[in-house]
Amino acid sequence: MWKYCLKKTAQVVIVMILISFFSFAIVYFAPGDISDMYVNPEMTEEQKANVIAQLGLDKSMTEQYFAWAERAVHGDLGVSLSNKSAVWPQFMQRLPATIILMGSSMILSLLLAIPLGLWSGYKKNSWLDNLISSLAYMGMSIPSFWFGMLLIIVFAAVLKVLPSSGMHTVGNVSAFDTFQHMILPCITLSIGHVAVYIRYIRANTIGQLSEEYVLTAEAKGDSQTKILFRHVLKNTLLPIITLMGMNLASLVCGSFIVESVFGWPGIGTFAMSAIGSRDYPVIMAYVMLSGFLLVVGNFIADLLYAFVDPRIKRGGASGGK
Amino acid sequence: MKRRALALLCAGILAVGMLAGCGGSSDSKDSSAKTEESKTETTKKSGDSTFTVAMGYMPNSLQPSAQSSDDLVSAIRPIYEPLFAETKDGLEYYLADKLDISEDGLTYTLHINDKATWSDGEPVTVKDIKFTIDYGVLAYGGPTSFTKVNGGDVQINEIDDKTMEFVLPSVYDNYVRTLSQFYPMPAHAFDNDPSKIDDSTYFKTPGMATSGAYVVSEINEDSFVYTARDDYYRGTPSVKKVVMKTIGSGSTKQIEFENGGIDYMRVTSAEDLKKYKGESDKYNMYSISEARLNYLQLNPHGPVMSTLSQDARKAIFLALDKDAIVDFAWGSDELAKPANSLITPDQSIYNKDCKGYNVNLEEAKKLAKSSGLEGKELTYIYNSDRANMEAVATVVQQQLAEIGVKVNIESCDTSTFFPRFFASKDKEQATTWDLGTNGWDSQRGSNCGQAISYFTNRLCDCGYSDEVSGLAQKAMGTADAKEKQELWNTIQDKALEECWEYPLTYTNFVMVSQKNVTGLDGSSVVPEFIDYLSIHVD
Repeated sequence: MWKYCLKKTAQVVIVMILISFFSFAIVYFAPGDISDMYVNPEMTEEQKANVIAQLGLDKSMTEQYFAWAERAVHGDLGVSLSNKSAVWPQFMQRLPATIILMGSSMILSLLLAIPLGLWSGYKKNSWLDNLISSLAYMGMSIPSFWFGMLLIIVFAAVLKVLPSSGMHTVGNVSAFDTFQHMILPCITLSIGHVAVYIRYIRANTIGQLSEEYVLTAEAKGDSQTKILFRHVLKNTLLPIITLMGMNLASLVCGSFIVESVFGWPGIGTFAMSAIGSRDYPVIMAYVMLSGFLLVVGNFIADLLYAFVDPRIKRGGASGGK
Repeated sequence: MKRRALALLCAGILAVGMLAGCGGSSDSKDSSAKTEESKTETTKKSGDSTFTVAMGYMPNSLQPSAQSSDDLVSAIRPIYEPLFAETKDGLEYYLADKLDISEDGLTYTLHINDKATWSDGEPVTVKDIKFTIDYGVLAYGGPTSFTKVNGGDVQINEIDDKTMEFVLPSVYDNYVRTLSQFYPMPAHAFDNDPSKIDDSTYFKTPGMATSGAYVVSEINEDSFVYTARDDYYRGTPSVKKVVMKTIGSGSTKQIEFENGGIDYMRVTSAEDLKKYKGESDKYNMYSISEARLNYLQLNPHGPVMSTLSQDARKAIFLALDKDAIVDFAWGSDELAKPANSLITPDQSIYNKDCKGYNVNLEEAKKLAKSSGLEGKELTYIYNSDRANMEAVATVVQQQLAEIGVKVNIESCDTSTFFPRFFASKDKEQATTWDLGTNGWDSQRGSNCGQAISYFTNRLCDCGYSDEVSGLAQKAMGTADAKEKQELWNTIQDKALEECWEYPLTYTNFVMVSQKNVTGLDGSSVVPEFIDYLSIHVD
């Protein structure tokens, strides 16, 4: 197990280095000149040169990259070019809002997907299965930003039962107020994941229902609900663990758009603004965070998989026969 | 049968969803007519005397000199004041109460209002101004427009605590504009050491010393709350709280406004203008000149434009019907009026008799043929983040097609548009477009800074001849008002003769506010509402 962890850690480090280099290169080689965002045409040439030198933009790409990497290794993700403040504290300030949204979205996705997927698989080819599957396909197809705007129009503009944007009502710091503001962005962020999880759980449920242990449980007189939730569920969740690990990064990236639509003050809106102003230290920090979450998410998923399925820990074939 | 019924049901749900999503203003109008009070808690109670303003983005800091976009300037305006503001009718004083300019135009003597104080009780003095100027030099790593003009150093003398002198090396008419865009910071908060500002969290926490009518009482994840000062030197504001809150992108601002979550919103389309005017029992409408010129630039380094003669450029301008452009793009003369000069009517140097360009399609066709313009393909860029610009591009494309010119339109967002539009001639981006629309704003009173930058080709190579550049330089260096006006009249005519920039429109900043909000038109400078004392919330 330790060997496995060490091997995975080394892979994480190599992947992070590659992510950092390629994302830096993409920002560097993007059309246009980064310095154009920070000098204005009314400056003299001397002023422009000073600003460019201060920002480190007069150096070559490799020099800039290694300067950034050296600082990043020591935990210093640099200073935002647009507001001259350190990047990491700004991320830390905004991260809780994104984590609240992400975490809630993940929990909501599972709470909805598990029962719907199980019943859909159990009632295969019935009207219920067809309805759930259709809704799942729709959920996978709908663009999140469009769905978010649709929810705003219905629940904020037409019905006026939920707020349209922000995280709090000014002057109201109650958890309930935050919860109210979180409902629409959380649903928007969850819709795609719920749809995917439903399809996976359904397929696994159908596969598991043909296993002999299910037949045994039926013969023993166990109820349908008990069979599904006590026996089948554990086995159908295995691929979901992997999916959740992979989706950790997509939740952060998905929040990018959802936070902008709903004015949620997380790292998504911060990164969106940074892209608009070619603020490469912030962009790099965001990309690194997303990449880190992806590889760590996969790593944790692999570890959890080994713990959840003893057959994998023993290195045995699947099926345990 | 069951499957078909299910499929039809799902298709119906999807169709209804799409229609609801695309419903737009008509749905909003119906919904706003349904209930008087919002069911959500986003509506502030009208008795609290709170004025709520939308921001597109939450700034990291409330440091005055860090604010570069309209959003951020609006966020700091209630708490930090300029020395004065340039308006159409002259200077409107704030922290300063007098600005004397010597007859030779070289010495500017500024006097700080004796009553102006910071919210912590300390007086506003010239030390704060010097401190802020020194910070600018530090931040830029070199001289700024305060310390250097026309290549020479400005001598800054502190006469006493309230009086400061700026002695210019040569006449520079735009120095008033430079001073008007200045927001002093409290020197005493940093022990008069500007190097302490960048590492400090002073402007990120409530309790910072402010010079404006409000203090910062709360900084939340998505909003700032400002509370009125009782000791504000110009009087206690009627509005006791100002809330700056972030709103999501897209049409969320309109929904938030109609739900009562924010107190005003800018109106940029004729459709919205008509809608809100029709609901005068619920809303107030205001219109203030934006002091903005929208113009069409011909790029002297464009891939095709660089090969064309002045006759070809004239053909382009004669083919354009700006009344039709305004009609289509803005839809109402309340939102924009056709422009006749490259100077705005809010500027003191504006010449109302400047003839501008008038459409003449026959002449345009003749010139297009004789100059070789006919049959050419031109690349047109516009800023997709600016209202109405896409519509302008569409109309221009159609109008130039009438003279046999094909226009290929490329939209750019702000971050790609400006580097491309203002690329200096040695950069490849300068050669990737032939036509582009842009605007310059806040041109009021004697402020002609942006116009000077264009006419002297200092901003970018706008194509003007040495004659026009020379006249503009001369105007900047002239202290005599009459001579200056004559020069500017000549510049306005000559610039148009050279056919590089076509003045399209002068726009108005049209706002709709909640019914209980009044006085928004009492502010002569928008969108930052230069004077919060004029605003009332009943």
